Amino acid sequence: MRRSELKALTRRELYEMSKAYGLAGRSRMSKEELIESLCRASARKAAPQPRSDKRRMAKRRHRRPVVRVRQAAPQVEVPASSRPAERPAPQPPQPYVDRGPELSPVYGEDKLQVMVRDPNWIYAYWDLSGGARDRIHREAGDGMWMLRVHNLSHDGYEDVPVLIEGGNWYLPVASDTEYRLEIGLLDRSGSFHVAASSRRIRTPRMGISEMLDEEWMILEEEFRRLLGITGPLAQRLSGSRMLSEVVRGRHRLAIGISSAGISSIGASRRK
Amino acid sequence: MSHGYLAFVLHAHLPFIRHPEYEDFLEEDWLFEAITETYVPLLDAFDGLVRDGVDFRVTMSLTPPLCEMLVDDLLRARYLKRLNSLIELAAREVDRTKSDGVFHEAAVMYHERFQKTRRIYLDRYHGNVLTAFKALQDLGRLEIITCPATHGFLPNMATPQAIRAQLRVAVSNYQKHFGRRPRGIWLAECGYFEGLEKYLKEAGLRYFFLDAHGVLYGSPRPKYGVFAPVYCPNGVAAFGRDIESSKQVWSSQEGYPGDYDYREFYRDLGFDSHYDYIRPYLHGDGVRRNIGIKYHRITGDVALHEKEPYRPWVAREKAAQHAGNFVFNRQHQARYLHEYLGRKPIIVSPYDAELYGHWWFEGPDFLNFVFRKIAHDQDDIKTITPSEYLKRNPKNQVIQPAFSSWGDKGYAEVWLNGTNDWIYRHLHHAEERMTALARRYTNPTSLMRRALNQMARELLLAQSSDWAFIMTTGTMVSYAEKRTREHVFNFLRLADEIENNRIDQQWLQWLESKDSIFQEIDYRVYAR
Repeated sequence: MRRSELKALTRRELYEMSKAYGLAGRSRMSKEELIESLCRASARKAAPQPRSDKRRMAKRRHRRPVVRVRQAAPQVEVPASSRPAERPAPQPPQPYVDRGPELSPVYGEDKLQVMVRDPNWIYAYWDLSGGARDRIHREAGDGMWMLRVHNLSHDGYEDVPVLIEGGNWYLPVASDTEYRLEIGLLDRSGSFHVAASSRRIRTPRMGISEMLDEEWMILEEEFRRLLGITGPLAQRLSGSRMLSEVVRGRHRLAIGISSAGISSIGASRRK
Repeated sequence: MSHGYLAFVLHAHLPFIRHPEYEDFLEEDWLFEAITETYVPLLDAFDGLVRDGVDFRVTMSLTPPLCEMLVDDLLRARYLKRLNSLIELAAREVDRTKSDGVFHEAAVMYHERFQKTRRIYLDRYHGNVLTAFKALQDLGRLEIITCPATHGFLPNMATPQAIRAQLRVAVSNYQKHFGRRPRGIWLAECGYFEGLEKYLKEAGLRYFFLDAHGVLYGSPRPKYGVFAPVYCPNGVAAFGRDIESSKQVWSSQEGYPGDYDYREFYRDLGFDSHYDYIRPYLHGDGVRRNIGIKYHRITGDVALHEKEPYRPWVAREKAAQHAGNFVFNRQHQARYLHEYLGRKPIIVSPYDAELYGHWWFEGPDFLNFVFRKIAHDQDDIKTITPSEYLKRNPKNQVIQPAFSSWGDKGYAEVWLNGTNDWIYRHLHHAEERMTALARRYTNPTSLMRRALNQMARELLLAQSSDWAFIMTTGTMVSYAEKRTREHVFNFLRLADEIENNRIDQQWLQWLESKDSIFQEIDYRVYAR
């Protein structure tokens, strides 16, 4: 960070930056003093890094949020050797990372929410700060926190142990199935103490329906051919990463047709 | 003989970004670039078609946040300032490249183009691009459809009230801008869940769009695949995306925009020029960024520094060729499907509007040529709007479409994964709280009403699916996180102030002037 760049900032901006660096006594400093301290601070240690994103995606210099075209190569700056000779570009000041105000992750309620991610995954999050967690620990004593996943389409349930402090969980599930969840403590004696329950959700169907329309009849091979004409369903437009998905998707679709399609003709599955 | 229909759908959307608290703000550029590179060129192309008596039909979704920004005084003033500085820079470029034959042609092109843009923007449209779109709709060439209020991804919402509000606010906002009700809607990211049609019908919407698998995985099986609309059991129609025509334009491998003669996006004057020369045209932070003047063509699978100079006329010729190819393929597709299905297909081709002009510089030229060729060079296909198609073909199969989106992997993962799942506990809490307060305060004082309305605005802005999307793609993540946190924070603070009857008037006023979307909003839209 160069002094000249810092000089170009307002006192307010310098103050915010010194906050990010955790510089003591910053509120009492003049602009000059802030600049001085920041120069020394940046020489001493690296600037605070933004929280690393869990998904490691190639950082692209542009920022379009809604565009589908994914260029294969990330933005690369033209190497200096091929640009006309010039003074080395001054480094812009390291931007401090303003993430906005802190939000408390809990709201003092007892709640379990479940969301659909895709045919095979649902997402659950909970807030037990309304008293349920404490109450249950008093009631039940020792045990393991579980998500009880009720399969409403086929009856029965499965208990999935979870890290209660984590506040959320992704669950692998079956497609085209209705579920309801509970979160609670399974105690030593095997009793389940419910802290909160969720709404019902249904996972999407993955693949073509077995239901045939009498009025708008289409034969099996005709429908398969129609799908073939339509094109690769799993293609999410572009990019080499997506290309592998296209290949997998085509393969999956082909398998889906041959098993779900042929074997289900005439067979009575669920209505 | 006519064999089928082509429905072009251009989805024009930008999240609401307006920062009066800063003198200039980087992300506001997205709007300015879109106006210069996409909306004005598209409008100019459409105006030309009208003027030349070329019959055509096109459908566009203009999302509420985009509409609001296009008529916002502050943003319009800033846009003009940007356009003027671009013209000034382009003039200097013409001078600079005079002795340099290779780049001079492009420099002259940019200078003329930007000046033309200003003429069109000021003289023809009086600084209001929205009225230009409206005029085309009133002429019957363009059908404008709406989109959820802040492009919220509806499957990820927790309460019916929140879904209703996104739709109702969108419909009112559409009425405000276009003087009539919208017939159709572009669901944000085509995000659909079974039963959503109930809310669409309540809002008076008659049709929407789905990615192909939303129709193809529907139940019972759709007889005509995506080549005819289907009715949900409650009568709302759904049009499925055609993959063929999408691939031809979208695909980075096989699509037209990747042609070697087209303009290379990633070689921009903002990065290539001497720093001192370009500095006045950058933002206050002095960071190099895309300016919109680019001198190279894609050239091939080569490194950036090996890109060759851009030749505008060669590129334009290519666009004409590609247009011819596109139309030819659609003719072929329509003839084949007509024969195979025994019914004239409707080929639905949706694209992000920004593809045309911003990402693919020659895109608007391509579209212009496509419409002209369809009108003059053949009679296998006609362009049509979804409303017209339904009028002509009211009898369609009834199916229950499937949960789907046009995002990566086809469901909700893009907006629900490790990078962004943390937002939902906040958004859902806010949804519930908004409904509770909307129901409780049926007769508020005028100050309280203002606060309640602003709460609704903050909630809607927090729900923009753009933030979650940005968190997934990993670009500008801190901006998206900040927007989410700020709007939720504002919402919670307003809620507390209202409940404790201690509204900070000054702060409310400041919020109203900054998060100024939907002046017409009525918080009671959350009560039912």
